Amino acid sequence: MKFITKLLEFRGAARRFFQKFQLIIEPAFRFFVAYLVFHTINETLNYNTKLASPVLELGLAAVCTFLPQAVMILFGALLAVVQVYHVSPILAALVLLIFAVLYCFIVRFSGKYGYAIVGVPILYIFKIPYLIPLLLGMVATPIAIFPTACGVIVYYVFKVIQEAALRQDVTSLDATLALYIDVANSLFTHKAMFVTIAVFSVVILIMYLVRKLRFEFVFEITIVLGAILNILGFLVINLYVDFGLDTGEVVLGTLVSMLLVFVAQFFRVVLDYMAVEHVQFEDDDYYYYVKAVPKVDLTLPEKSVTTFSEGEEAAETTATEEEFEFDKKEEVPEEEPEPGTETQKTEETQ
Amino acid sequence: MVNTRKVRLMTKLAIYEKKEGKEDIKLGKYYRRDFVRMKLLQNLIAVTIGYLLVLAMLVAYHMEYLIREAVNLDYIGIGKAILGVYIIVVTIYLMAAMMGYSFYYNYSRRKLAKYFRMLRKLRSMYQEENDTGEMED
Repeated sequence: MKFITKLLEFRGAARRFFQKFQLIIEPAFRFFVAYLVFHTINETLNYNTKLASPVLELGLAAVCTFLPQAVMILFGALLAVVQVYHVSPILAALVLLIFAVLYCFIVRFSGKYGYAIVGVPILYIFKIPYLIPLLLGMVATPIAIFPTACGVIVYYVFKVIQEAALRQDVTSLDATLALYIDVANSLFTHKAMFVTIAVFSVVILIMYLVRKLRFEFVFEITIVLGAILNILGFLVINLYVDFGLDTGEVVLGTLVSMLLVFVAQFFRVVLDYMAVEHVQFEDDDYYYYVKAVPKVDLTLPEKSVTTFSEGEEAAETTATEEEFEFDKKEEVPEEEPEPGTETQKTEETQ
Repeated sequence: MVNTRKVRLMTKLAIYEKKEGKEDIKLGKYYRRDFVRMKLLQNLIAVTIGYLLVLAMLVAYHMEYLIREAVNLDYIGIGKAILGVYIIVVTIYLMAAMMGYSFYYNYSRRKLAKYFRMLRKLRSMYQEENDTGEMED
């Protein structure tokens, strides 16, 4: 139990750290993700070394730090098209067409889960793409199926383009057409792509439905169920449709993803409630500059030391674990004032 | 003297307005029917463009066959098939979009209703303050 206590204390410390450096951490995270996206695209489709320069990657990432995630996805798509254009204009046109179709049918519904589109291809490199459906199953609605499917398609498009770029030597219209047919055949004969989309969709949907139920350890059970579904889904489909499944990779990747989701779930409270809000407003008498701090905290153990007089044994009593108040967001009735509001006021000067 | 109850309520309102309230307040200007119709129209346009792009890709894929059999092709049959698939795709998309956006609109209205309740409470606080001020005068 001491270990759990330490973990909870660590979580409390992490939350306080996030709150303190929130203004730095959030943009830094967005910058890091954007850089990772551009770097991965350049690593995967490195046909123009000028585009693959770290300066450009860092510059684009810096711009995307202050813009919505949709802009980062757009820049990523454009970077990929320009990279492919350098090796073959026809392939670039094809990539552009595929991206446009994906936008019309899928990407438009991504909403705030757009990170999944870039997350899946990046995590494929680390062999843990299963992290996305397991994570989204815990936090998202079934609409997250769209960006996840899109991410899987983008990964396979890049894969096929990489293969096609190696053997392209198009000089005539016939050769161009042949290349196009070849790429289309390669893409649509990738059974693994369709299987992955199907399994990920089922995992997200089932996890969403289960986590909405009310029973003890619902989150833990949902994560384990999601991982089992993921492994079984791939294994069972592979029995009927052989798509060259690497069983070890799926099992190990899913287990690692599951562990990461457990960690994410543990720290979720930190991310959910960490936001310190800075707002300003006015009424007839004052201007208010308010810093609202969410009132969730883990009470640190308070050791009460009792010293007995000489001759008696000195004893030290420690607060029991029942004295902990675990992090929770209290439902405040509307009539009740919002807790944890620090107010600074400046009198209006006429 | 600062009325702390009022400040807390105003803070809640300001946080809502700053974050999710932005979208909810904008959406609150529409009737549900208008909002859903507007979204359906956007989806119809996007799906139509997407469908045309897929068709273009399919034509390019079968270009050789289409040129070779240009004279013998059953254009009416192909046209019917293209139109049929289009109607099916559009119907599925629009049905799903209608349900999704209706749900989204209702959810947003519920949050907005809570926001308006808090606004009314704020107004009553102002009223109380004014009444007390007049009594003191």
